[in-house]
Amino acid sequence: MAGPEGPGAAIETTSPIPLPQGAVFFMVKSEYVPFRQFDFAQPVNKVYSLFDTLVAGYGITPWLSGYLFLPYNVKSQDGVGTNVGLGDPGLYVNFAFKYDEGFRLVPAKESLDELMDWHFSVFGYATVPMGPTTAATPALDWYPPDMQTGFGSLSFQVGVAVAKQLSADFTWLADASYQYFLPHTYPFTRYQFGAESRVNTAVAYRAVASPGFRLDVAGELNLLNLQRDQERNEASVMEPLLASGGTVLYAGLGVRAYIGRFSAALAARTSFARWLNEGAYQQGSEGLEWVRVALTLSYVLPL
Amino acid sequence: MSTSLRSLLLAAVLAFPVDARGHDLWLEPQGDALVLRYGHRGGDLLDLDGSKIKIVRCRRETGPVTDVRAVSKSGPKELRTPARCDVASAFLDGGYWSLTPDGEKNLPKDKVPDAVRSWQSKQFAKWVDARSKVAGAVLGDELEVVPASDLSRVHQGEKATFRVLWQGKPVAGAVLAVDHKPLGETDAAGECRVKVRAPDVESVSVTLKRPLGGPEADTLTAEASLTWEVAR
Repeated sequence: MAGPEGPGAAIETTSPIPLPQGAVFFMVKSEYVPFRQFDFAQPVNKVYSLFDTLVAGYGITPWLSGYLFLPYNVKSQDGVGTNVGLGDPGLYVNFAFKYDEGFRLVPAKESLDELMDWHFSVFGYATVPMGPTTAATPALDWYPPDMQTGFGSLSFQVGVAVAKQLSADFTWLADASYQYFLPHTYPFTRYQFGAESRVNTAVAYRAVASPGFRLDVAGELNLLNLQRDQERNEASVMEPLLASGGTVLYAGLGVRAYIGRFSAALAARTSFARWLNEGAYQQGSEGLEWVRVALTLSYVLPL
Repeated sequence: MSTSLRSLLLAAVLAFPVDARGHDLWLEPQGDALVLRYGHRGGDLLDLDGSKIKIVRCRRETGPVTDVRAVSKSGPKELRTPARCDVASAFLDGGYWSLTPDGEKNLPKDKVPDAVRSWQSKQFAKWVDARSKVAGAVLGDELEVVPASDLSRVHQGEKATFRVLWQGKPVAGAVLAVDHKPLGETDAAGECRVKVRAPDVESVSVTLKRPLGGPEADTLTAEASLTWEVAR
């Protein structure tokens, strides 16, 4: 008897496959990001960030899924402190369709043959500024904007995703997205995080399949482009900041195990190419991590 | 959202065995006759007990569905019916079966004191001429597979949609298989869409289980196949 079949999923790359209608989905994700330390940044090197996220999803229709994200962040910096707090909750909506003798919405049930069709999705994500932005250090200074756990203003993300099951064991996935942050006025400054563009691609390989159990291995490439942050200058004009922005290419490897309706994934990725605007001064930026390690646990409950 | 739980859900369903015995019953034309066979298509044929074949339905492009069982001739491994039909089906009443520590017995549970479990077996086999205008006709079998796609236009490697009817109504949750490989479940409209694999003659099958809970058997296991000549 064959084990679980169907397309695989990666860790960072978005899958366009929607939740079944009426299914309730829960996930916990934790990503640990230790940063490289540099002499120029002494004695205030950023040490690590920890991004924890609770996710609840629901299959609204066979082709439309909605998810609520609740982040909880930890950001630690030498000589400054460790800021712990809620991030900005977000709403994610995934509109899924496929190509089967023409484009069509994903139906309520798909056979294994249909799961091998090209699947696509258009997704949108918006965060609501509910996380704190005025947390203070032990020295009673405010943490700078990038050390606060909330963004302080709305952010919007739109993207597209595609997946194709190449064979019983191999699945290819890719996505592209753009996220824009509105500016926020802090008690101490006005600041706007730079927009983020992402292009991800992955191949998932079904390494083990036995009744009720499946283990996938996924290799990924993640391209991230960060525009410069902007901050109000002395003339009250928003000015692009030095030592911010750039482009980073990550390579990652992960494993995902399915046991019944439960899934667990562990993945690590690291930047192997980076084109930072002023890399020598961007300690604590994306691209200058040692590694990004992510653990996810998820469970789906059909109603 | 890096999850693919939809496929996981489907996989969980398909991980269950569909038909432990794995024997096909299929109907196909041979010259001016319809031939019903049992065993493995393209492989060994098994003995076919003609007394268990209760109905052979035949539908031509015009006219009603007729039962042509009376003119069928039974051989050791086939039942041959001299009839040209655009759509035809046969019903094999497998009777009651009981599983005992000594193996399976073709008897109802109330006749087998040491029965561990029991079931009633019904098998249906259907043939359609894909080019016929009535290829999508419903013959009225208790469990029936009806092509919802125009099979005359579906070639090897392309997909076709099938509708599964139980007692004349679409049934959800029936598992559709090709060559004993479960490929999908029917939706609320009783439909499932799968790829045609064979280059010449293809057969899809469906299995449905229903609780009986009577003195003779715990469950009803109904199987139905649909066979047709693949478009070239």
